[in-house]
Amino acid sequence: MSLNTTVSFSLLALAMALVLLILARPRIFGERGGSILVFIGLLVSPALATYVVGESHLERAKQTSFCLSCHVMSDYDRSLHVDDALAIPATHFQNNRVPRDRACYTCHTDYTMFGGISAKLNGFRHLVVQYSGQSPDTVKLYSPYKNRECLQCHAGARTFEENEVHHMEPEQRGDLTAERLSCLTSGCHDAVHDVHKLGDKTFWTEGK
Amino acid sequence: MAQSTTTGDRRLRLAAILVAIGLVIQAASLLWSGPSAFLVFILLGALSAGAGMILAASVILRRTRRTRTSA
Repeated sequence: MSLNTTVSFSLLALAMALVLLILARPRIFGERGGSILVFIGLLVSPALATYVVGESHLERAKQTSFCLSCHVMSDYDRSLHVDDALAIPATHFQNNRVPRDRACYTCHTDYTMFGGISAKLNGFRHLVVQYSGQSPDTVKLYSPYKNRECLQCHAGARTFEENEVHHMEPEQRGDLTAERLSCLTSGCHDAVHDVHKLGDKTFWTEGK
Repeated sequence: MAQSTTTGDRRLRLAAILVAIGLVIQAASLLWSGPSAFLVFILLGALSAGAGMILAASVILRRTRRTRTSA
C-alpha cells in the first residue's frame, strides 16, 4: 500500500470517528466546545479527507495501466510495443526514455485530468463516455500535440542541440520552441501511435 | 425553541449520516484502481460527503444566528 493510500485511509478513519461521535450525540452541539467539534467533525476533517483521497486517485490516474484499462485504448497499448525504431511512442516506451509506469502521463501532461480546468473536464467526460458505451472508433487529441511535451526532455540534451538538422534554418530552433514548427507534423518525427497501421507490424515483448 | 433544537438535531444527524456514507464510499473506492474507482469516488463518495457538509454548514450557521439573536 502506497504512502498516499495509507494517509488517505488514516484521514478517513479519523474523520469517520468524529462523524460517529456526532451521530451518537447530536446534542453535543449545544455543549461547551460542541460547535467547534461539529465544525471540525462535519466540515474540516471530511473536507480534508476528501481532498487527500482525491489526490490519491489523481496519482493513480497517472499510471499507464489506468489509461490503458479502457477498451478503446487497447490499440494504443499495442502501439507502445511496435518493433519500429522510428515509432516515437514505441521507442520512448521500450527504451525507458519515459517511465513505463507513467508513459502516457509523461508525454501527455496537458491531457485529461492533468492540464487546466477544461482539460480536467474533458478527462471526466472521457470517463462518462467510456462507461456509457459511446467511445468513438478513432481517438483524437483536442488540440495539436505541443512541442513543449517533447522539449521538456529534449531541450538542452546534447543529441538534440548538436543535431545539425535542428539548426538547418537560422530560426529553426526558435521556431520549435515557439511552436511555429511542429516536431511531429513537419515531416520529421511523424510516426506516432498510428493505431490504424498496426496490422502489418511486428511487436516487441518485454523480456524476450 | 425545543422543537427547533430537535429539528436541528435531526438535520445534524442527517448531515452526519451523509458524510459517513460519503467517507465509506471513498474508502471503498481506494480498494481498487481504475477509472471506475475514480467515478465512484467523485459521483458517490464526494457528492454524498459534500451534501452532508453543506447541510452541516447550514445547521451551524442557523444555530449561530439564533444564538446571536437571542443574546
